Formats: sequence, structure tokens, C-alpha cells
Amino acid sequence: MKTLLEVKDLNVSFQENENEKGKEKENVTAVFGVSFSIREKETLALVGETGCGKSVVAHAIMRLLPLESRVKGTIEFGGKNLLELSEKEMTKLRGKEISIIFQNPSLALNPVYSIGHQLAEPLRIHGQEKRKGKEWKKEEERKEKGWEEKEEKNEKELKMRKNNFSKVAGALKRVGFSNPHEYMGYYPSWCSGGMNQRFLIAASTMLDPVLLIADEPSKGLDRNRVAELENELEGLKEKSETSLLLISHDLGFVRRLADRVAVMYAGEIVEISDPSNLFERPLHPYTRGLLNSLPERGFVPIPGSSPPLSSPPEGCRFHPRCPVKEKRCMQERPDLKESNGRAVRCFLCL
Amino acid sequence: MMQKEVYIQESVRQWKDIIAHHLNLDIRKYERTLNKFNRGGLFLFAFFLILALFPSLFAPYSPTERFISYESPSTAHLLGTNDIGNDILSELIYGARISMMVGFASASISTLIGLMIGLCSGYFRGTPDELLMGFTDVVLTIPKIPLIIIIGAFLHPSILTLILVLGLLSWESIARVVRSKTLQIREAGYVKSARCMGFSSFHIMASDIFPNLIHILLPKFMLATASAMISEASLSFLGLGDISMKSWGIMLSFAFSRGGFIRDMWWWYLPPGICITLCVMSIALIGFGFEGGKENEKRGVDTE
Amino acid sequence: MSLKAENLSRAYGSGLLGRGKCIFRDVSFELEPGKTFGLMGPSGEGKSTLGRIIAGLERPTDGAVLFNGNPLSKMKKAEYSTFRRRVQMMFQDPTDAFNPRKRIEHSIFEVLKLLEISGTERIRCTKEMLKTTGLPEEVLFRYPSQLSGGQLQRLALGRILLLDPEYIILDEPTSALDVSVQAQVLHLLKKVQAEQGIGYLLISHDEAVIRFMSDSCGELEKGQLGLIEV
Repeated sequence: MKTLLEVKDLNVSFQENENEKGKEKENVTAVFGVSFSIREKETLALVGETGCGKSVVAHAIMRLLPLESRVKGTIEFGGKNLLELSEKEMTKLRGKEISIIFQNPSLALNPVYSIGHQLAEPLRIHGQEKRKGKEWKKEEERKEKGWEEKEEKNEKELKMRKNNFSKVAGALKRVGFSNPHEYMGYYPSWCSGGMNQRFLIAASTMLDPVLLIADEPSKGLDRNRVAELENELEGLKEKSETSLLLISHDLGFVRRLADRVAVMYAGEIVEISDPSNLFERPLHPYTRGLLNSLPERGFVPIPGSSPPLSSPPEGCRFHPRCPVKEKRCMQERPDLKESNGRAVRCFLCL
Repeated sequence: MMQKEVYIQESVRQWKDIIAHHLNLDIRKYERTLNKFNRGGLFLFAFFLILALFPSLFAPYSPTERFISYESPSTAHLLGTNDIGNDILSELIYGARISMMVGFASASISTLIGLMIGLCSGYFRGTPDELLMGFTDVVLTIPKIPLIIIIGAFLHPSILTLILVLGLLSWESIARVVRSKTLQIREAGYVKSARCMGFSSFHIMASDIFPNLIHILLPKFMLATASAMISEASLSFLGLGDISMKSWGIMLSFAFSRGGFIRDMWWWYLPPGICITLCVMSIALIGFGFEGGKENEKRGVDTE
Repeated sequence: MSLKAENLSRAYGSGLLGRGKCIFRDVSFELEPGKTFGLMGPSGEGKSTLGRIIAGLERPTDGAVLFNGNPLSKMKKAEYSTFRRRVQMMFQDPTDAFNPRKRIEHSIFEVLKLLEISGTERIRCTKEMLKTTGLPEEVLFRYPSQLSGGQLQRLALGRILLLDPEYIILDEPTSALDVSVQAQVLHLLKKVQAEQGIGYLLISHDEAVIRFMSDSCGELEKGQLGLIEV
């Protein structure tokens, strides 16, 4: 299978001067040397706790990070380095080839427009671009010919609108609404969070993106709704050719959906593996600790707390909390070692 | 005794912290997002403030000193003299204090009233809220300028009346904003847990809600100052000001009534007009600057 | 020494114009010291409202909360203030549990001031609290936005413990936290309960959490409370 997205040595740092006295400038490295790749039709999950930098990775891919951040490394998507594209090219790419599902479904939809209007928006915007390119010359001619052609233009627009309408209806049907025409007139506030989530998925997949990024889609949802969402994404994977980058802290959710899982801790990837191996035989001590704190395994916590990203510990970033640490863990930084399809950042494993 | 000292120290330190926190953030925000306009506003405002605080340092003469009347600008009198022979530049400089005093004093009154009414009605909700907001709505519908003119005509025109009238009639919008923000903060976890722990309502309002209101009060206060200065100028121009204390508005009024306009003595009526405009603009710019800053304390980068 | 809910009902939109929509009706249960009562149910069923009613932050439309046999609505001022100390509530979102404009230190000292504890004693109490919750001393000098959710939730619990409560109402205490932090907080809650004999009312939508923590358990569904075997 072909590699769709390749992230190499991604470093993202923010400058913040929220120091004790607010005088010195402090560099916060949120993402440190992250490399991974997504193949076509594959689902890769990024797992980790709050503040480990997983959302930053997603935003770096979409180039949605705030201006004061500094990004190093390469993100290769279809032969292009996303970090070097101009803002204009990026805008074209967003939504059409790479699409994102944001965290809060009720906040991501604009409450004053109807669902149908909002879902048709990506079609309108990206459709216009296409037309501009192709029909530029035609339009010039039309201007010369005068008002007779205007009618024709209107007719064309009407046709396009009808086309959009049926496309939106199709997308809604795909996410499980049996009578989409009714729902297109609805407003986000009339619908439940779960329904809004489905609208969002429909909107993100409207243009058949090659890569879909889901940023904590299950956060703040009820158990039933998480199950619903799972079915949605499952269906999406089967029906379309989309690759999925799933960012979540919900391990159970990830286990059922992902083809490969990357575990992040304090801005680094500590383990990449397929889910069944990861959940049955975790290698990295952090992964083991994380799995042990799941309800099924009796809520055994990892002692201590994640280090602040402004001053990570020397050597292996997990060593202060590690139950099996050795002397060299405190001094050297382990590399991500690969063997039979799994990779782990630890001296003591493998 | 010992205990009391610690007590006092703590509360002082706490307020210092809050203030430092605010100023620090504001300056940072200022530097990052404020464009040259707002920084210009700050300089301009500082200039007027210094004029208002130390007029004697800048004014060439005392504002009551008399020379030959109706003189054109010369090296002795940069802006000439008026009908009774006062030096216009000196008058202008001394007028800054009065104009700004009226502005700030009435804005303080209106902010204070607005804050108290808004806080109480937002925090207690229910009947107090309905009563206070009903009252606010009634005040909101009163046409301001006509009322001020009537009051000004009935009462002895003095600067104190002017401050009081302007202050007592312009607090409604502040009260409304404070109320809505209070309603929002009231539902925050820290207020709920403070209620749970048995803190008094006053304590919660003063120490939990108020510090979170400062960032909306500051711009409101600045804008109220600016609008009070304008009202003062227009009222003074209509002859409802205090003649014994010459503000910029009164200077304009005199220039109009004592022949400044007819004789085309631009050096008489133009400078006070420009001063009012610039001063109000600088204050408003600072207000907008505060407004643009930190809506949200948890702002910053989402490092999730 | 008991906290009891008797036939509590709550309706929204009730007022002069008649009764509004009923959220739950005739809910009764009892909290015992040193035990945990778990309350489950899907969101929007009024679990949090029930919690707030028990904590005295809202009034029920019908029924009564009994503290030591006294109904809450008929308490005198002195009784009410002991109730206020003895029954505490912990909220879901740790990020707004502390005033964002104050250092943690101030939020903690404020509580000790309220309890009329003197200066040197205050520092001792704070240190002890930090030891119980397993937090380093430096968190005191931070603003809430500089701390993680887990640290804040532990601090929130610590602050409540300063008041020496008999009952704590935990409103989704871990649903905003990561799994490993959730495990830490749950263990801390258990430890504190074992040491100080506090009764918990644990409100959560997560069945695993309820099963792990509770001695007895009920489910709020369609406005009724059904007891469930644990």
C-alpha cells in the first residue's frame, strides 16, 4: 500500500513568557521529534493523555497552529511538503483533500445557518474554485455578449445548486439519516449532540477527502453516543477510500477502530504497534501503566504526573515514573527502535 | 495581633497580585495586538494627564491674569488673548484639568453604581434582579440630554452638579454588562464551591466575581469617561456649565458668545475643540485597547 | 449523623403559572458515613440537579433533605452553617474549580481564614493537605491555568477536606480527566474515605467507576430512582 502522509521529525514549540516572574522567555516544546506515516485506507490512532501534544500534531498537519508557534521537520502529503505550501494552496487542500472533525459538535456548527446550508458550504467554496479555473475564458466572452447570456448563467447556477442539494442529501443518507430533505432545514440547536456529530462527519466527508483527521471525536459524549460514533466511523472506513488519523484519549474506542496505534507521552511517540499486540502485550512501561489504569484492569494508577513540557526530564522522559528504570534511562534519550512491525522508545524492551 | 497582621498582609498581597496580574497581561497584550493607534492613544493621554496635573509648569501665565483683549497670536501670547484679556494658551492648559476631572469623576460614579447594581442583580437573581433591572430599564428610557438641560436650568450651575448629573444618568449600560457577566461567572465551579463552603455573599462578590469583572469594567470606564467629557463640553457650550471653572467646553461657549466666531479668531475657538477631540479620542483608544485584550484567562495555546 | 433524601421531586419552569416539566419524582435514599452511594444514569436525567439539591445549592420542588433528622428548609442559621461545613460538593470541571485570577495559595488560605485558623496553623494545615493529596508545595504559587486537570482536581478535594466534611457530593469527579489520572483520583478518594470516614454520593455516567467505588448504587432513569445491586 502506498504511503499517504509521512511525518518526519516534527518539532513544534511555542514561545511563552508565563515564567514565575514573567520576565524570561520560555520555550515550550509541545511536540518533539515525532515521526509516523499513514498508508492509504489506514486508520492510525494517536493516543495519549491531555497535554501530551496529540492535538498539536493534528493542527500542525492542517497548518492551523497559532502564529507564535515554530514548526520544524517535514510533513509530506502526496509528494508535497505541507509546511512549505503557501496559505492559498493550503486553503485549497483543506476540506477537499484533508478534512478535520473537531472536538465539540455543537460548537463547530454555526447556530444561525440551517444544516443543509452549512453542509453545502464546502461544495460551494471548492466548486467555485474549479469553475474559476475552467470557465475563466468563457466568462470573459459572456461579458462581451451581454445580458442574453445572463439567463444561461443563472440556469447553470440553479443546476449547480440542485446538484449540491442532491450531494448533501446523499451525504446525509450515508451517515444514517433516512429522510435527509427534512433534516436539511433543521438548525443545529434543534438536534442532539449525537446528531450534530453526524452532521459534522457528513460535512467533513462531503468532498471525499483522502485524509480525515478526527480530533477527540468521542470527548464529552455519552457511552451510547460513543458507540453510535464508532459505528459511523466504522461505516465510513468500509464505504470510502479515506485514511483516518484518529486522535483520542479513549483507549477502548481506539482499540476497536484503529489499524495501528501510536502512543504519545510528553510530546514524544513512545510506542507504535497494531492494536491487538499493543493491548495484549504492551512493551513500553508507560503503555503498560496506561492500560492498567483502565477500569477493566482495576484502576491501577501510574504514580506521579506528566512532566511539564517546558522542562522535560533528562534522558527518557518517562523515567521519573517508570517502575523498571535503570541508570542509563536517566542520562540517555532512547530512540524509537523498530522490530517486526512494532516500534518502541525504551532501552529495556525488545 | 499577630494573626491580624498576617490577615492584613495576605489581603494586601492578594490584591497586589490581582492588579499585577492584570497590568502585566494588559501590557503584554498591548504590545502584541495593539497597533500604533492605540499606543498613540496612550502617549496622547499621558500628555493630557501631565497637562492636567501640572498646568503651572506649562502655562506661560496665570489663567486669570489680564492683558490687552482680542489680541492675535504673537510671541508673547502664542494663541492670543480673549475678550477680557486672558491668555488663551494658559486658559487652555488649565482647562485640561477641569474637563478631565468632570470626565473621570462622573465616569467613576457611573461605573460604581453600575457595578453595584449589576453585581447584586446578577448574583442574587430572582426578585432583586427583576426589581433592579426594571429600574435600570426605566432609567435607560429617559432621554438624557433634555433631562440634564432641565436639571441644569433648575439647579445652580456648578461643576459638582454637572458631575453628579452626568454620573447618575449613565450607569445603565455598565449595569447590564456587569449583570450578564456576573450571571455567567456565578455558574463557574469556583463560585459554586465557594457557596458550598459557606463564604458570605459579599465575600464571593468582592473576591471571586469582581476580579473577573475588571477586564470588562476598564474599557467601559474609559468609554464612559470619554462620553462624559463630550457631554460636559456640549452642556457647557449651551451655557449650563460652571463659569468660574473654565473647561474647554466653556472656552468654546465664550468664543461663540463673545465674538470669537464672528471676528474669525480661529486661535480662540479651534484649540479647545481640537483638545476635546484629541483627549476623548485618546481615552477611547485606550478603552478599545483594553477591550481587545484577554476575553479569556485560559487563552493561550492548546497543548493537548 | 445522617444525610437523607426524602421523596425529592424537581420540576423545571415551575412558578406562578403552574408546574413545569418534571425531571425526577419521589427520589429517596440515604447516605451513610464511610460508605459510597453511586448514582448513575444517562446525561440530562437530572443527576447533577439532584446532587445540587442534596448539597443545598438548589431547592427541591417537593420533598426534603434531612441532615441529622432536620429538614434543610426549616434549619436555623446556626444549624445551616454547620450543614454548610459538613456537606461539601466537588464539581466536574477541574479547570474552573479555582478562581483563575488568584494563586492557589490564596484560594486555600481563604478557606482557612473562613475557619478562623491562625497564621502559623494555616501553614501547617496547608502542608498536611498537600501531603494527603500527594502534591508538591510549588503548586501553591501557581495560577490555576498553570496546573493540570488532575492536580487541580486533587487540590479541589484537598480544599474540601480542610473543612472536615462528613459528606461529599462528587459530581462526575473524574469524567473530565485522563484514564491514568482518573485512576489516581479514584484511589485518593478511597484513601481519604478509609482514613476519615466520609460518606460519598458519587454521581457518574460511567458504570465502571460506580462499580469500583460504590457500596450501594442507584440509577436515575425516566425520573425514577431504581436501586441496583453492586
